Amino acid sequence: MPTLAEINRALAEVYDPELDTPITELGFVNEVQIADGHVTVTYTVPTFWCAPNFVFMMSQDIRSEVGRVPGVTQVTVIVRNNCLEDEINHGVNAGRSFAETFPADVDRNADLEALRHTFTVKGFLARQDVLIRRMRQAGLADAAILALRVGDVMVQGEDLLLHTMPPHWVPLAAGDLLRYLHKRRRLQLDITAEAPLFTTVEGQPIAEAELAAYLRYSRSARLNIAFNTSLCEGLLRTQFYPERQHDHSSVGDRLMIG
Amino acid sequence: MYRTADGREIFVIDAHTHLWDASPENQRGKLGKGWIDCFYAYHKNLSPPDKVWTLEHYQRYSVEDMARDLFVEGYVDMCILQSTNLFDFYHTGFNPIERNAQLKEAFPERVILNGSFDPRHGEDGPLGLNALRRAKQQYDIQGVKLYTAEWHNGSRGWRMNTPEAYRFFEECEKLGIKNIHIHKGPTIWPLDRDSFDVADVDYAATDFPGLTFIVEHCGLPRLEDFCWIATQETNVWGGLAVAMPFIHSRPRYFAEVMANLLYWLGPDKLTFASDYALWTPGWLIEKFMAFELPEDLEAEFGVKLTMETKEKILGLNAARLYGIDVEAKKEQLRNMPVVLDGAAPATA
Repeated sequence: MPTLAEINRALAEVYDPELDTPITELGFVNEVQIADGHVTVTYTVPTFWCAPNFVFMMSQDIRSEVGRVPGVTQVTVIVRNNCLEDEINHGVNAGRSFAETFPADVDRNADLEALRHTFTVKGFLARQDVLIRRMRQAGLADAAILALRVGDVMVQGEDLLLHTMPPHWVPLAAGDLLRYLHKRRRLQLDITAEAPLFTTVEGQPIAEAELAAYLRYSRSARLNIAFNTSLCEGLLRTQFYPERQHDHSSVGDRLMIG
Repeated sequence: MYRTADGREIFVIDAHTHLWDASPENQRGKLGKGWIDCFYAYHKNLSPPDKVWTLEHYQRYSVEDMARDLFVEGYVDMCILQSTNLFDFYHTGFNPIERNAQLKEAFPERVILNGSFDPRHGEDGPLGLNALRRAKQQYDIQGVKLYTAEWHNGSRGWRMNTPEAYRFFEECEKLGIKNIHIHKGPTIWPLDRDSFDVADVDYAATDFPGLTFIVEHCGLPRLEDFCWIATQETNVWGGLAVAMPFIHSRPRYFAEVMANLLYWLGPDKLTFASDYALWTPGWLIEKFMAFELPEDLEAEFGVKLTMETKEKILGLNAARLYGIDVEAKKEQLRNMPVVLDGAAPATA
C-alpha cells in the first residue's frame, strides 16, 4: 500500500499552471485517503470562477502523478468550489480528455498543451527575472550576468557563489537559481555546465543592449504571477481558513524583489 | 471632492460602480450564490478590517447606502454606474440598467448611467440592438459596459471580434455611444484559451477608432498583454477597478502596477474606480492621495506619480471621456450638498 508521504511527494509535483507553484504549497489539498491501492485526493480551488481549463489540468495532473506511485491501482480526484466541478470530476475520473468532457465549449481537437506552454513560458520569464535582478543587486554588471555559464554558479547554503573575476556572492538567491534551473529543465533548455545560464525561452542569447526591454516584459510576467498567487491564497483563506484571513503573506512574495 | 492639506480641491469621478441585488431571493441556484460569495471573498480579503460589511448588507444595499458611501463619506463627486446583467444567475439581474437607474433618478447631477449589450441577444432580446436603442433614448447613455464572461442559455461567454459583436459597435457609433467599458475577468469561454485573454479588444479597437475602449481591471492579471495593446491602440484606456485595493494589502505590488501603467499608457488614459460595492471609495482615495512611488521604480521606469497625475486619474481623465466641464460641475455640486436621513449600517 502506498504511504501518505509518497502521495504527498507526488502531489508536490502538481502545479497550478497559472501560479507556477505546487498545489501543496498553495494550500489547495484538503484530504488524501488511501484504501489499499485506491487513492482519493480532495482539493479546493480559491474561487467558484477559477478558470475551469486550469482546474481540469490540475485534476488531470493529480491523477497521473499519484497514479505513478508504486502500489497505486486507482486514483479518484475531487475538486471543490468551482462552477464546473461536476463536469470536471466526472470527466477526469472517467479518464476523458478535456475536449471529450466539454464537447460543446471547445474545438474537438483542442488540447490544453498550448495553454500550458504559454504559462510555462511566463513562469520561466518570472523565475529568470528574479535571478537576474538578484545578481544586479549584488553588484554584477549586465555584461557579466549575461556571460555566465551554468557551471559558473555554485550554491552555498542559501547564497550563490559565482566564479567570475573577481568572484561574486549573491545572497539568498540559491532557491531562485534552483527554481530557474528546474524550469529550464522542463523546457528542455540546456543546463550543462558549459551552457549559457541566461537565454531566451527559445534558447537564444540575450543581447546586453536589449536587456532593459527584455526585463521590462519579464518583470510584468513575474508581477502577474505574484499578484495572482497572493490573490488566490487570500481568497482561499478568507473563505475556508477564517483564522488566517488577515494573513497577507504569500508564496508569491519570493517573486517580489526591489 | 477631496481637499489636500494645502487646500487643493481634487475632483473625483468613481468610474466603475454598481447598485446590485444579490440577495438570496434574487439568486438563481448555486450560480447566483457562487457569484456573490466570490465577490464577498474579494471584499473581505482586500478591505481593511474596519471596512468589511456583513454578507447580508453586501448582498443588497440601498440607494441611500450607496449615496452615503460615495458622495458623503467617499469624496466622490460623480460616479459612473456600469450595468452587469447576469440574468442566468439572478432572477431580476445583478445590476441591470433599470436598477442602476434608481441612483441616477435620486442624484441626476452626480451620476453617469451606462448601458450594456450582448451580441447573443440579437435584435430583440433584453440586451439586443433594440434594447440598446431604447436605453439611448430613455437615459441618453454615453457608454456601455460589456461583460464577455456572461453565461447565456448554455453559452459561457462571447468575444468582441465577431461579426455579431461588430454590428453592435456600429450601432454604438451611430447612436453616439462612444465609451465602451470592458470587463476582462475570468471569461471561461472558449474553455481552451486563456480566460483573461485581452486580444479581442485589440481587433475591435483597431476597427472602431471612433470608440474608446476602457479595459476595466487593466487586464489584470495579464498586465503585460494589456499594456502591449494599450500602447499600440491610442483608443484603449485602463480602468483601475480591482487594482486599487492592493494599495492596502500589497502596496509594493500596487506600486509596480502603477509604474507599469504610467510607463506604457502614460497619465492620461487611466481612470480611478472603487468597483463599488466590491470596495468603498473613501479609504481607497485617502490611501491613493498619500501614496508615493518607491524611488527604485521611479528610476527604472522613468515615471512619477505626481499630484497632477493623481488628479487626472481620480477625475479629470474620466471627465474628458464623458465631456464633463469640471469647473462648472464643481460649482453646480457646491450648491447642492447631499443630505441623508438614515444611519449608516454596521460593519461586520
